[in-house]
Amino acid sequence: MSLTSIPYLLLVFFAVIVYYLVSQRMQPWVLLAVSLFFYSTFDLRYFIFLGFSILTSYFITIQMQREEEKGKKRLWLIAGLLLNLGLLFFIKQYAACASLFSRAMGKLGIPVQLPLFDMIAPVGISFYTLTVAAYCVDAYHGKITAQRNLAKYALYVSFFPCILQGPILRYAPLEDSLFSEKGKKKFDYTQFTFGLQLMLWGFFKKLVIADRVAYLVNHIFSNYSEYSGFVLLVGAICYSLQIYTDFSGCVDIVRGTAQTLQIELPHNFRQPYFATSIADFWRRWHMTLSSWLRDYVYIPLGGNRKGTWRKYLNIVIVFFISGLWHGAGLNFMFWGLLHGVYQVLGQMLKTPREWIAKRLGMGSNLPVEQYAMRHRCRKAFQMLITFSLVSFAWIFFRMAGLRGGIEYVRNMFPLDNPWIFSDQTLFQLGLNSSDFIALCVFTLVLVAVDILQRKYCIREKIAQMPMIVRWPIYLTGVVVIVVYGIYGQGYVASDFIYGGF
Amino acid sequence: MTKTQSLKIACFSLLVLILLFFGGKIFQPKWMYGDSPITLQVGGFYEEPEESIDVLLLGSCNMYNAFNPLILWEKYGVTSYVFGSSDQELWTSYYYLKEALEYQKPKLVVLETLFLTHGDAPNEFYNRRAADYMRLSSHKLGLINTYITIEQEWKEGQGDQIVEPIFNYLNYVLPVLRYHSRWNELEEEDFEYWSEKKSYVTKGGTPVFRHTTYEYNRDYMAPSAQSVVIKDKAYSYFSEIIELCKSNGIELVLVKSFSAYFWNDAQHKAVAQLADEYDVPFLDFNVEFQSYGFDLDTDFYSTTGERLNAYGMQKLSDFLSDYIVENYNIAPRTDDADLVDWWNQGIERYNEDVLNARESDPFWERVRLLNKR
Repeated sequence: MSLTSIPYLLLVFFAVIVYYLVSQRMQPWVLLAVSLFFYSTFDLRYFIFLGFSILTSYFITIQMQREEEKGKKRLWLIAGLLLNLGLLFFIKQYAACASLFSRAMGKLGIPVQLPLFDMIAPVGISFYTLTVAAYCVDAYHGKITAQRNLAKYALYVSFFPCILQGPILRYAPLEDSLFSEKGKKKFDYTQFTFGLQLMLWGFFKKLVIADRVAYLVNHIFSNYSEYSGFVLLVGAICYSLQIYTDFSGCVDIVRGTAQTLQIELPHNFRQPYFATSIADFWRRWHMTLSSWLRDYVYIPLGGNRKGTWRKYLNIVIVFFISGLWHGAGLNFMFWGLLHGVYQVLGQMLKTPREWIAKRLGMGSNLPVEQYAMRHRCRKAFQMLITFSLVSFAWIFFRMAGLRGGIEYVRNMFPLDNPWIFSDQTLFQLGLNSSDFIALCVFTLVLVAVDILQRKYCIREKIAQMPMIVRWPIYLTGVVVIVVYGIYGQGYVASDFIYGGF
Repeated sequence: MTKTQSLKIACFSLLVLILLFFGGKIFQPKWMYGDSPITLQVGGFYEEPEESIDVLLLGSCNMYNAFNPLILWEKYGVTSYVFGSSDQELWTSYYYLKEALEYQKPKLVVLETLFLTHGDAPNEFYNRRAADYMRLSSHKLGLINTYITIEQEWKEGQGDQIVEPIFNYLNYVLPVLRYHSRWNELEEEDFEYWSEKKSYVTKGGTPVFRHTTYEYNRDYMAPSAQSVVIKDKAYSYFSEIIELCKSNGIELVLVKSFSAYFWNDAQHKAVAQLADEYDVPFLDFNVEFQSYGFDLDTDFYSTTGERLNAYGMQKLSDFLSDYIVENYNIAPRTDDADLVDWWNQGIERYNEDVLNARESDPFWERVRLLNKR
């Protein structure tokens, strides 16, 4: 069941009605039933993996908290992590590793053929495994008390909007609202309407922008060898737009759904393309993954406590793992490493960068009040550079293999065909002129909303307006999605990109 | 939830539905030209004065390209309407009949029989054409449901991917969901269509003014030992049509219009046997078609000869009009001044817009001569 399908909307509608009708004790049960039903619509075999993760982590954390001895606790933690992360690694990476190993041994003249299995990859396993791992570690450190009610714990892991593509959950902040611990949740009109508005915005991003730009992106990336220069640059920029609107659109739908049930899920995006550095980008992009990697990989590795070079190494390791998490293939490893290297270089070159900025009259030491324009220029320049670096890395993320990514980049330079912006070339890349113009207009709307959201909550602003203004805004939103959305038999809508991870 | 909040939610949901339902009509394709202007054929039906149609004709292009109600009116003052649609299967005929009975009280139903034995794979294009311009009613919903069920059964049999049934259903009820991709093709006509009356001067009959020579087996009705069976689904909807006619006191006649290639002796026998079984008259214009004056070289506009042109239509309409008046006690409506005025307006517009416009066309010259006969 796709998050943008009519059955999903009906499921949410049904869930909301039943949820607010039943007693406090029954509310988590309703959510669990809906979550299990939602997950069952994919493939019943996936329950084997989900059940494995839930049961192992459930029993291990209970056992872990019973233990007095730190060493035994640690053993339980290692068992929990190995079982769950090991399963994830096996499902996602085994085939690629086995093939790489066989090839490497073959080159050394030792023919070794590791067995390959016809494996299924359960949807959402990358996300719920991290949720489970965080739970085990938090229980080990005593930050949370292990949940003894198996049904409640199963709900935490399988909560239906987030099981597919996150956000990656932490137990502590969610416990009260997910299990209605503070009494029965009564219908809250504001939360309900705010949730629906967030879902509407998610549908807009996904159906109107992401799936529209996908035509252009797919066309260029599938035929990259036939193009060069600015066409490939446009492809790379458009992919940056696609992956942002696709993933953040999905997260908006997920968070909006949860909000209709008065469950507040963590933010996953905060205008990431307005980031002024790569480190800043990762504080704004897929925030729950970034914080997971920070808390459960970077800090345990020593973080920045063990010297500069060790810090750099830790950063590179974290991003390498991030690459592995996103998929099997050298391109994902390269993409992760590239981000690690970006960050390390960014920190190493801090002094020369500041020196150049000072020479250009845009140093950070200038008083903001007096030189506001210069500060704005500096910020805009930093944003442009960060966006360029991120978009460059996305090329490797999007291409099927590392070699393809390198060829794409090689074909992109030199940028020697600016006439594509004045002749009709742009309209022959999978989108006709009217769709291309529509894409530009809707992207401007997105940028405008992202700019406004930096200053205030737009939903709250709209809520303060009189109904005669508010309702036309909502109705326009619905009409724009229905009319300009890419869905149905007139189009072939694409799946969410992050659903594949 | 307070009462005000419930009311707000209900009002907003209603507003969205109304906006999508009515606003979405702009996005529906307007099939108003060509050989089958279904938008006008179906839309025009609703413009006919209530209880003014005495003969209702149902069927595919084999019916609407074959019978011109204006001829029956001019000859005998009897009113009729061809409630046809492309590739009209029996289930469409059944729901069209039910829909028609909401507005009219026909005394006779003429059912074209090609699709009792003939049939193609379910085709969304034909389904949409047939359903899109029906008014929203339980009959329209019934027809949509039948289409979806049949299409799903077919796709399951073929191992094809199935569209979510609920989305498929909503697609028909809220056509904007299906046609929203037309947002960059909209023309003035798409906006203006809904503000205009859509009367169809030829009352569902659709004369086509061109001619193609028939290229296939000319002895298509040669006696054959082969047997053809009536399609299961068609049979059950045929039975429903019989029941519906009986319960409404409507007489039924089966007609096979002059159409080569897709019709043969075996099909004729199968339908004749069915007609016998139900004791319904069956008139097949293909049996000794020369005796009606039909000509394989001049009467068609498709090389396969299943679609009559205006010339063939003129001949068939003449004979069928005579047959109806001779065999059924249907009084002329010439004493109803308003109705006479309404039909004569149609005749005038037809003569002005259609016939006179083609005066210089040598093919149409022959049709005009025939008309004066």
